[in-house]
Amino acid sequence: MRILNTVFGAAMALALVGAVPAAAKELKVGLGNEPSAIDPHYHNLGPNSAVASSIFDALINQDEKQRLMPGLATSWKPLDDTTWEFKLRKGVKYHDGSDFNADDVLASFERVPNVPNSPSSFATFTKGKTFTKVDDYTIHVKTAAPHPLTPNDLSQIWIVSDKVAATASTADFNSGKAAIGTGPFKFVEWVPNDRLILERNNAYWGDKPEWTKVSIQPIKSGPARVAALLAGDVDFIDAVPTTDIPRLKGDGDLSLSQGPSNRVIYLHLDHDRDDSPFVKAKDGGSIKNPLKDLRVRKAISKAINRDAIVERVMEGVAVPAGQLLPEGFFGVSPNLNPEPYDPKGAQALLAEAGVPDGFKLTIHGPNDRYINDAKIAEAIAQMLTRIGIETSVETLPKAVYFKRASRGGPDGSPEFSFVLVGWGAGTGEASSPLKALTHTYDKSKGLGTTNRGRYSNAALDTIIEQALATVDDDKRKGLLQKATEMAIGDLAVIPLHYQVNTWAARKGIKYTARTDERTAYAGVHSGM
Amino acid sequence: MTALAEQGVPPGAPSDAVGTDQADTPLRRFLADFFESRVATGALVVLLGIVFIAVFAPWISPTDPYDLATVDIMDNRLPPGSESYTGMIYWLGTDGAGRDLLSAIFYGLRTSLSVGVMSGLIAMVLGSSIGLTAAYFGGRTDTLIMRVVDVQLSFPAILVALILLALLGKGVDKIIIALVAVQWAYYARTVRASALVERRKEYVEAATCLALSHRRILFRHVLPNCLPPLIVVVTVQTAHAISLEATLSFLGIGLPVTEPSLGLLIANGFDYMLSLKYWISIFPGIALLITIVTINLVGDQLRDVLNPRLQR
Repeated sequence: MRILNTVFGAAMALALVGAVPAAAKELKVGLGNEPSAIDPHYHNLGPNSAVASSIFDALINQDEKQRLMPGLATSWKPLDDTTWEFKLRKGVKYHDGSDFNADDVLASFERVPNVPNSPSSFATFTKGKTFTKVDDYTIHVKTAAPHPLTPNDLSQIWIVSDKVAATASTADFNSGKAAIGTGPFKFVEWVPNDRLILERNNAYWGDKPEWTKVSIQPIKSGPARVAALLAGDVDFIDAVPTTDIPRLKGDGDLSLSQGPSNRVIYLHLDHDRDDSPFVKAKDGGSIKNPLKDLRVRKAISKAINRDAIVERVMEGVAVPAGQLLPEGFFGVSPNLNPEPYDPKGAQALLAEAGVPDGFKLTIHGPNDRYINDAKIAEAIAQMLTRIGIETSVETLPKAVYFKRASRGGPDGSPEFSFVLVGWGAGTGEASSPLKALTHTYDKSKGLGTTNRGRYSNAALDTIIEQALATVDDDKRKGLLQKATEMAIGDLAVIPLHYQVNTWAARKGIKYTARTDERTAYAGVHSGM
Repeated sequence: MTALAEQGVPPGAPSDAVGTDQADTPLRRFLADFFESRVATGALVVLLGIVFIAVFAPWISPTDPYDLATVDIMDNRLPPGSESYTGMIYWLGTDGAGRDLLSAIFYGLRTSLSVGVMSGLIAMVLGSSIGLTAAYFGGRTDTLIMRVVDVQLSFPAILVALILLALLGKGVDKIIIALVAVQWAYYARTVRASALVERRKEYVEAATCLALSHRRILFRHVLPNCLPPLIVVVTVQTAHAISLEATLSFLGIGLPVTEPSLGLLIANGFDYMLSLKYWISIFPGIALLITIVTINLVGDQLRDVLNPRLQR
């Protein structure tokens, strides 16, 4: 008996020594932007969808270049112009062991528009669609008008089980009670501002992730995040500050991954009010809003040295923009290039527009949302001041900025005159920025919802709406290109650059940069 | 024991040690005492130099760092000693927006000192009037005022300033308001303490018998006798105001980004610390350090000289 015990003990010890490093693999992450909730239907925000993508699945998932991949749906096809059929994956189990079927999909779509207090709803993706169950593993989606982007829309909606969808509140998700998905990781615990813990879902239907546990620590400050990686406190960080990239590249113990995103950083100008609150004459008096004049908008675009911003502010880690999405995405125009820097031409245009001496302007921007956002605003102020548009800068934390920029003025109108903002095309094609930023503001149709300049052009609206309803891919592509060219020709917005994102990790850990900027933990590989 | 015995001399009693020189005026005695310390003299010289730079910044700075038309983003993050496009030398390098750091520090000192001194003076006038009133009238007025002071002092200064600025918005005037609001209580308390002692003295009684007005007694008779401790508090609080302003700017809620004070310059440079562009943070930091240390050294010496208990 004693001998047996000893042998058994030794065997256990050996097993432990041998097994522990191989079986338990923890990934420690320093994350720049924390989600505002674990509830996947609460807030349509980059960091939220990033975390949700690890816990939940959508019918259609997106790969790192935002191409559509089978998710909980194995295949989908249009039956006619307004009906789509989705075949669902069989044998998928939720983290609590229950089975996935069509009822869950319908319940999730039902829940999306009814989440209370949602700061930015996912309802824009379910609006105008009716969902019917054909059998347990088939659903039909009917749209009011032909809607070719139905699969793209549905790739944005995370699926939860019907019993969770019926009763769970946002707080239930945040506490973990309802955070039950089908995704590659199970939710363990979330303490806001402190930690988020995930655990491998061993029953995942797809490729199982390498990590048995992921501990995510929010570290807002860029230098602090880099310092945590250098000190070995974390293995992997996102949003590496551009200033530190050259130094980290030279560090043999680290590896970086970098890739362009679908996010354009742009300026939105007041196209609507005649007396715009942050546009003043040189002597401080009021002036008829010159931003409504295309020549003035052209002058502003010409006065901005995009190469200098990319080179000096972004340390080369960005791509100058001439339209709303970078090259390679569906609907991007081959005819548009970034406006070349031409201060002389800009001054000539100002003179032509009747404001040869310029005017006074305030640029508003966030200071903690986009890469180097406050510095970009300051550089633009320099460049505009040089052609005579005396520009002052006001930067605000994102928590107050976006609310005021969207509806801080009287009657919920946009408060500012000239704003620095960014837009990531969630659907991965050109209709996303066109319909949100340049279509006439129309809340009831879900169009122009982020049009903070209240730009309105009936001809452009028609083409956008036509594109949204065109099923034929080639035709739609042509329409989107035409709409983009029109919007940029009239400078509905002034594009600056496309963001390039950088992740850094301990040597040996590999991550493929995603165009949607998400940090997907299942995509982190140790290479060992 | 001996030290205690020396300190046991009642305040205000004529001191034999200094009574020998008949031509000695209080001012001359004060100056002689002050310059006895080499450290304090040195600190005063440096401080005067800083004040000179702050006052004449627009004339002695190589460039105007607040003029967006001349600041060039192409010149940003240049190390100290680099040459600009126009051939000018950036002795301390440039910051992330392309400002000459030397000029930015000169202008930053100007902002920091003027904010510190302005808020110090306003808080002093306000605080000492309130303190005097409390001490002179006593009773309920005193209790009420001093409880308000207690409440005010029980909150951390930075917290009160943060809340005020969140409500008021950005700008130099708003920073001054916030700093006055967190500082007046110190003056009120100091002046009240010494005024309470003065109020019981015979000269006040005599003035009251002459039927002089309250205001005249307060400001012409009591206040001058409360000045020594007040002067010390002014120096300490000015240094405090400057560092508080720097803290607020560092947190990004003080002044506009295009007109950086020292705190904001340091905050901007903080982003570049790990990429080894040390100069953007270090030089404004040194300037701030020197300013605060010299003010404190001068203040310490003033305290020693003006405190009758420490009179040699």
